[in-house]
Parts: sequence; C-alpha cells; structure tokens
Amino acid sequence: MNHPIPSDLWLICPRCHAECLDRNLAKNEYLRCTRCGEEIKTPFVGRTIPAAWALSTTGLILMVLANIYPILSFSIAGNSQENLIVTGIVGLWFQGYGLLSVLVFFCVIAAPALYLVTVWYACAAWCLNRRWRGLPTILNVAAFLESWNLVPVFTVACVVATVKLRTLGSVRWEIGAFWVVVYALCILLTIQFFDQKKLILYVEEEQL
Amino acid sequence: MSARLRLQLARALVVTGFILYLPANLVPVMTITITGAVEPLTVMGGVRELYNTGLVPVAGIVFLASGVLPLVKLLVMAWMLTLHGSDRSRRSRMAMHSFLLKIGTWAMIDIFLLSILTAVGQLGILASVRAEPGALFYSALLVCSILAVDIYKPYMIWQDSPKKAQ
Repeated sequence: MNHPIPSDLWLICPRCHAECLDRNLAKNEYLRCTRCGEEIKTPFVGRTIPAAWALSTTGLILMVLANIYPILSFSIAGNSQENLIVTGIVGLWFQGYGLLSVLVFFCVIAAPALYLVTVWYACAAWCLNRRWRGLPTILNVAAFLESWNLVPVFTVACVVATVKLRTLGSVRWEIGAFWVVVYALCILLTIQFFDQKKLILYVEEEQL
Repeated sequence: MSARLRLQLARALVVTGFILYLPANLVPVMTITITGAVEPLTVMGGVRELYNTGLVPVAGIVFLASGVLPLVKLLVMAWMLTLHGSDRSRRSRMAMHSFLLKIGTWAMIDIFLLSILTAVGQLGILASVRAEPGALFYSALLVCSILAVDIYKPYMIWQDSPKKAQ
C-alpha cells in the first residue's frame, strides 16, 4: 500500500488490523485505534508486568492449595462424602464419560496451571530482561489458554452445587473452597495485569 | 491459519452447534438418586427444580448461563458470519464479538455442576449422581460455540468479500 507517510510511522491495530498513524504521546495520553477503539499505544506500557509476575507466582502456589484440600462435604442419613476438584473428574471418568472428564480437567486444572506458567515465564523474561527461548510461542499459548481458564466459573458452580445439595441433605464448606475462591480471584487479576501488548512489542523489538 | 479457513471452520462449528442444541436440551444430563428415588434431569429440568424449591435467583443464574447463553452465542455468531464481508453493522459486530469472548465460557457452569455433584454423590444407595449422554451433547455444543468465537477473529469483520475486493 502506498502511503504519503513512511511505513514505519504506521501502527497496526492488534485487534482489527487497521493502520493507525503513530505519534509521540504526552503524559497521560493514549493512542486508540480510530476504527475499533482498541488502545494501541500508551506511555505506561509494561507497568503492570511485575504485578502479573507476582500474581502468577501466587496463583501457582494457590493452585496447589486449591487442588489438595476438600471443597465441600455432603451428608445424608449420617453418611458423608468430601470432594476435591479432581474427585468429580475421576468420578466422571469411571462412569464412562472420559471426554467429559478430560474437558473438566483441562478447563479447571490444566489450562489455568499452564496459563499461569506461561504468564510467569513471559513476565520473568521481561522483568529480568532476558532473551529466553520460545517467547513468541509462549505468548500465543497464553492468549489461547486465557479463554479456557475457567476456575472463576467453577467457583460459581460450587455455589450453585451447594444450594442444590442443601435441598437433598446437609452441606458444609471446607477449607478448599476458600483456596478455590482466592485462586479464582488471583487468576482474574493476573488476566487484568498481564500486558500482552507490551510483551509482543518486546518480542518484536528484540527479534526473539 | 488463513482467514478463509478460519471462516469455514467457524461456520462449520456454528452449524454443528445448532444441530447439537436440541439433543443437548432434550436428553438428560444427569440422574440423581436419593434414597431410591431416581430423577433424570435435563438442563432446563435442573433450572425448573431450583425454581420450584424457591431458589429463584440461583435458578435465574443457571437459566441464563446454561439455557440462554449457548443459544444467544450461536445466534449472534450466525448473524456475524452471515454478514461477513459486508459493510453493515461492523462496529456492532465488533462489540458483540468482545461481549461473546467475555461471557461465552459461563455456560460451562452446568458441566462443572455435574462434576461437583458426581464427586459428592457417591454414597451408594443413599445418594448417587450419574452423568447421562445429554452431558456429552451439551459439552460438545459448548466447545463448538467457544471455538467458533475464538477462531473468528475480530479483524475478519473488517475484511471485504473477495467479490467486493476485486
């Protein structure tokens, strides 16, 4: 495409691929795409990456706690049963619903854990100013896993399950429920703080 | 992946989603047995049961997340794919795409509910919860709708049709 302005002065919107004219920004000024409104340049880029690093580290610790402690215990006629996140997955597997079990395992255990690991790796590379291998692939994996990271949805499902089970017997929250809620909040904050745009620019600039 | 392939995949996934919608809602997703009383539940049956027990807010949440959301996602995606390549409502389509990305996964609430109930419902003849084939249809429907939104990228909304580009 022939522009009267040199090509290096055009920025491509990462969302709608529109070409936007680049310019130096003043303090507190943002450059938004004229077509879709996506923020494509800001003087504060990267400010949140150390926070995302800290949150992903916390998230990885919380992931272990959320997975090893029971979430609920259900009692009926003196008999009670506790459940971990993995108990339902194993239950579905042994009932012959392997695909369903794999889907729940992926959305509640594997995808959130992998997402946190990829965020941790990318943020660590940026914060420590290291040229670590495979950063572009890691960023693509993180972008894909973001929508499959369903611990917050699982948390709401726990609340609905409690309400439903109360109509059948007695239910008690266990310590694992607390860790699941904190883990879900940590993941939501990590998603908010993880500045993928800055990291993509970093990868392009460093030609990693 | 090329934009053309993305478009074809998104169309195929939406059509598959529509095909799966009926069995996902008609076939029971789970059977709950409490002290010998067997109760098969469909997605909407579960909502009705929560409503009948007076848990109206929870029933409302599950109805929106499990009943309405998958259908809304499929209809909106079908609308976006029908208008692909045209100038009409491009900004609205961008807004709808962001909306679908944000809320799309909440429909998984029913599958997670099944997983939790299966975990605690292992008390032999006193209480048991079994997954039923409807859960497979329902989860396949959700996977199709989530992947369709993921595969159809926002920049494709601004692409002109090949005829128009010529």
